[in-house]
Amino acid sequence: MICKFEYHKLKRSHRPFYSMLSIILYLFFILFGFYTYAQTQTGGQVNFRYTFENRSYFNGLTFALYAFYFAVMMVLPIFAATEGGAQVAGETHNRTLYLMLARPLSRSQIFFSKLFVSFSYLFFLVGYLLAFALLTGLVFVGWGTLNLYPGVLQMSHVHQSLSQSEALNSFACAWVLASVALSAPLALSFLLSTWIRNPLNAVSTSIALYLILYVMSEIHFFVKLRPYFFTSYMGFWREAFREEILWGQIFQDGAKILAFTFVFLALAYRRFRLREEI
Amino acid sequence: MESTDILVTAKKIHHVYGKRQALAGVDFDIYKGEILALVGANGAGKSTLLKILAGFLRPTQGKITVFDCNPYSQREIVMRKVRFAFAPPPLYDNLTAWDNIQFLVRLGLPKQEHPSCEDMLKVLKLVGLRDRLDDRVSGFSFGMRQRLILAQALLPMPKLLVLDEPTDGLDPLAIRELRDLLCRLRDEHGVTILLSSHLLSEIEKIADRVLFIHEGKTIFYGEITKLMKKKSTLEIKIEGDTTSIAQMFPQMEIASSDTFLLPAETISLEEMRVKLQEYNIKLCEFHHRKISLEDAFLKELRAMSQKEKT
Repeated sequence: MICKFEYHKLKRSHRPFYSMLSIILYLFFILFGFYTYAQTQTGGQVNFRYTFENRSYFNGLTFALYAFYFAVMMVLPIFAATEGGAQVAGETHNRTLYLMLARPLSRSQIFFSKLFVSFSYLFFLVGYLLAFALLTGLVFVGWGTLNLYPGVLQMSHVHQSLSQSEALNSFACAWVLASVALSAPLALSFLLSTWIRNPLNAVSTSIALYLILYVMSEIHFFVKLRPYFFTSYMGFWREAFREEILWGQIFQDGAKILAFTFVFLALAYRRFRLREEI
Repeated sequence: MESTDILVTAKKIHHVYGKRQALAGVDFDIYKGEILALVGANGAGKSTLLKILAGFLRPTQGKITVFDCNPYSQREIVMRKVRFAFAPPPLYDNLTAWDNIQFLVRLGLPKQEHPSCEDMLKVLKLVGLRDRLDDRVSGFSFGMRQRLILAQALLPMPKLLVLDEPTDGLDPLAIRELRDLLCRLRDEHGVTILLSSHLLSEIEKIADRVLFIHEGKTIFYGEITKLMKKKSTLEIKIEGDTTSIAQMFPQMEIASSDTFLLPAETISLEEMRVKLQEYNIKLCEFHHRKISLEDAFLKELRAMSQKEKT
């Protein structure tokens, strides 16, 4: 019943609607970016369907991968932070948490039902973005072989060529793996929302903290600190886009991400269980 | 009253927020089937006390048991028997009245104990929201929110109902209906009620006992009828030599040159007539002045601050 209630609250909050709308807008901008880039590169002598390099390199799958890459690293963590922050802190701020605590429900039930629904929602959003990106790629550009060249998006050190079906399998794996990667920023925002009682502050702090860690994990300057940031492992889903998937590497980095998630959640749970409602 | 009839026991409850003492040694019991009113000015410590009762806060010192359980560590057990209607009413604004009630009243209960849709409709009809079921709560007035929060607190029927400022935002007719409803809940369903309110005239009409708190301290705790009797006065107008009156009644208060006041329980009319005759004083008027609960509260407050000064 409580999960159903959490799901119902989420549905009625309109957050899913606005998130889906934002994702459409984001994909539109990415598509527009590719289109204008292609035009600039070819001096306008281009039909978008046969784009600036050659179709075997740039196609709907490449577009979907680019869109997915930036989304997982920059856009979806913001959704994760918003969702996590809105949960405990939102209910505390609106005092609706009193309503739940005044019913025969344990704090564990409240905490884990919120977590379950938030994670499910995030999983859905990742899938939605991926499906929409693939569909957009198919409709506007067309699919084909997915070629990845060294350097671009740090996807691979050697050229990788995936057939259409292999690439689609990799996208399916990436959906699950990216959701696991996003569990860390979600858990971080849960932790902050159990400490900070104002949802706006909880969300903005989560976003700020994520961006700081992300930037630090990307800048070469902090190479020694990288292993201690969860953001350093968030791109582990990219390993799925290989001719021979390195599952060992995926499990290793996935385990690190899950360890961060576990620590954040354990701290959040402890705080939520012991805190007093002022 | 037998000890089995005590639902809530609070002993020497203290609570400190940082450096501010919100409660300083409050004692009270709630007996089965009564309406106990919790009265105090803003910042007196009422909300803190209710939060401690709900298990949201731990008392800094002292002990509270609700149905023999510690509300902080055994909140889930307590909440099977107790329902709260908080103020200002916290509700899910994005949900409709029906969504709010249907989910809230079922939370944490096994399926076989879920209140039926008919029960929910009955309660919504009782609070006058039957026609607004599908409206979002965000469009509700404060009074309608009060009604809805009360409705959710009535299902499943609790053993102890805690209402925080339930009359706020209600029109006079709704206040009267609420009063009747609370009396019916107590008399017909045996529901015990703890009511926190500023509206002393309403409390006077429905509550059996009252707990006055001020700056975290108890200033009166007991039966309302006894308090009002104790605080009522006799207003006596006389004719003749009044110098001996002070000797006769040391506790008297002079109201005017020929009128004095005595605590209501001091003397009967007949005894007064006889006593005054002994001193050749003519009794002109003898009035029993009943006091309102509001005046009784203010008198207790004044007495307490005088005591603190001395």
